[in-house]
Amino acid sequence: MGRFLVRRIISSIITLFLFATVVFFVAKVMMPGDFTNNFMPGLGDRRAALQAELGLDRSVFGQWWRFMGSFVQGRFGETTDGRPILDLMSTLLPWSLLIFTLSITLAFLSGHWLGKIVGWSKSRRLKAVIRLGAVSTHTLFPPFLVFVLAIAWINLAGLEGRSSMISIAGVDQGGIRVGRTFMILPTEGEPLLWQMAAGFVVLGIFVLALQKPFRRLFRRRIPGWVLFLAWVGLNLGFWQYLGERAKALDILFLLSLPLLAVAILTIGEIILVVEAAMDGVSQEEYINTARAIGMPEKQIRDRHAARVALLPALSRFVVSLPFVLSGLVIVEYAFSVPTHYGASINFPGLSSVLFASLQARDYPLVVGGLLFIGVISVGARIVLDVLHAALDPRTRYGQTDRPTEMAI
Amino acid sequence: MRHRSWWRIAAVRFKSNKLAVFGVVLIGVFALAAIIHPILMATVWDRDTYHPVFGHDDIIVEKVVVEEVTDDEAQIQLMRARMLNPFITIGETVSEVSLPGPFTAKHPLGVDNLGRDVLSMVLAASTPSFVVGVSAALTTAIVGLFVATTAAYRRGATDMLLTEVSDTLQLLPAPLLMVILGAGPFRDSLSPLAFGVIYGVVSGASGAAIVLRSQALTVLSRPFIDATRVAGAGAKQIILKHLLPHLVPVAALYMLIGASGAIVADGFVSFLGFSDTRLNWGTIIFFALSLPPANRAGIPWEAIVAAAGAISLFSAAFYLVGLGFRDIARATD
Repeated sequence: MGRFLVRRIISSIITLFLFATVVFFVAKVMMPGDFTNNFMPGLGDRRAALQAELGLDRSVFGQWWRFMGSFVQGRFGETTDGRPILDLMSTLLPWSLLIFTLSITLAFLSGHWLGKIVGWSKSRRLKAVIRLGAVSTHTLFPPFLVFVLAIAWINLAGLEGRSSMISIAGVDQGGIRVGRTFMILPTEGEPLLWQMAAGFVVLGIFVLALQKPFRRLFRRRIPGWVLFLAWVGLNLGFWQYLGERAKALDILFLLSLPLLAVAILTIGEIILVVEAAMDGVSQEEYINTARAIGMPEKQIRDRHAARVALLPALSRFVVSLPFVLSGLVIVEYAFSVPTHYGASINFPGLSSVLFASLQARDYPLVVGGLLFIGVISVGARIVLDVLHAALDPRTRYGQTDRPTEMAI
Repeated sequence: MRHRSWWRIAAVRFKSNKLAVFGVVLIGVFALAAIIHPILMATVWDRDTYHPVFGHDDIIVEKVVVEEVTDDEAQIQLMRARMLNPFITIGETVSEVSLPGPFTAKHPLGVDNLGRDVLSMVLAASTPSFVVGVSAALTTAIVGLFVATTAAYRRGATDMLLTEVSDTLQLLPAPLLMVILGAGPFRDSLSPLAFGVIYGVVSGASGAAIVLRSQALTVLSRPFIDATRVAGAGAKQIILKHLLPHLVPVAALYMLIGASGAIVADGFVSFLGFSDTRLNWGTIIFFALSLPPANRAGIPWEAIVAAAGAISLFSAAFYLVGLGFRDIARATD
């Protein structure tokens, strides 16, 4: 296990180095010129001085060296005003992190559940319907989904009623209200967001950990919905204890929009992979054995087949993590595109800085954003590989494919 | 003879998957749309009204000004009408321009905020989408197969290098990368073809190469490859005749999924105005949402749903066909 881990980590480090270089040169080629181009006419002689100050006068190789140095030190480069990008990212992270973890958990749980049922069933019609549904949610056009969700939220849930976090600016044109802009107040370093995120994770683990002692004492399992309710209740209690329950609920209410959008866009692929894996597992010998000894069908499905089908779903998900993350950024941004008919919501997450820096040609930030996604994905892959090696010993000795090599 | 029976098995498998057949039909419908649009423009539709970019048709709606003045709202409506025509009386019918316009016989899918026929736009936009999808698919398949077979056949340093590069490219979030490309000065050269090729290399080919390589390795380790080697077959013959046929279904699966992703990404990038294509399903939605409507209450669902539906259906069609190939890959493996 130790040697396997070392090998994987070394290979990941090489990948990360290559990735940082690729991203750097991609940015160089795609965005010729630099930050000083923004002030071209007015800058005159001072342009050279500014370039020297920002280190932009060096050769491409020199800039790359400096960039890699900053990357190795874990700062992901510097913004043009000299702040480490990591600092900036981490103030923006809580929103995106909350949306990401909640939506992925939602998509994974429901996707696994649906895929398990469909993969096990013999009904061809059910399979076709769910497959079609999964494919069409996977190929939905994100801005369209976002628009429909925003309209639904305004009309059904009364977005205007919630005002502790939102300032509302109606755009008036000749007396007709044509568009509505909902701005979330900037929450740079909002501690409540971190507390909420921590609460979700810690209380989630706590609730799941209750299962084992309960089973030992009463020889029964706690049903999933009871665990879920307990988790919700504990979180509500936690916010009450912090004295920020109303604000937390408002944040959650606003978050539910991008959360649903990301979950809908992700769930299709999970259903498809789990369904296919269940199909493969159902032909295994040990399933026949379980049937022969008279085990209830539901127990075979849930304990013996669905657990095996979890692995391919997990690895497929980790491989497509960069896509899921970019989907998250795209969804976040799509909410802030002003339209004449719906709300536009500016989530102070990763997308806000990424798109703003794109327009300002502040390319260290763009590069930093891409690097950030890359580092998260590589980290997730290492975790997955270790998990996979722990669960399936064949991986350690190179007898099966690495999880990232598995076909769907 | 064995070779032919493999194709027959594949065809039977594919046909038994109704959804895959449905996907093929859908792609056919879009191909028909791409072909029929220039024909319609040349024969039935006149250029001034139906041109997908410059066409214009005012939708005139007959409307009663105000039935009777009962509340403030009605009073305001009356005043607004009188600003345009001071001699108007209560209860009079006026005709006014209303854009976007609803479904009519002349415009089966309505008219957008600029007075352009939605059906014509949707049909015309299927051509660039086809170019994006097909170029992404071909790039994925060709580059993926080439890299995978080279890596698996050569092994050693070549293999390590190619695998490492594919791993790295996999980390790039392709849709975001396309947005970044479009935001820079490359926007003018980001034609549908260039879009498809870049997307195919970055997103499709890298993933395909990783999976195809590991499959190629298992094929190459089978005894029949050694047998052909003993019989005197060269590298070219082994790769082309014995290795590639085994990789085709999986390559097809990745190729179609790549195409499906490229189409949605292209829609999004043009939705943001970051691509060279002037007419695209994404741009139709963008215009429908962002241009001010003239005298029309409510959301122009006609244009939005038609264009978003076209993107989703076209992309889903490729995906469904890909799932058909997945079934073949499993059955013949």
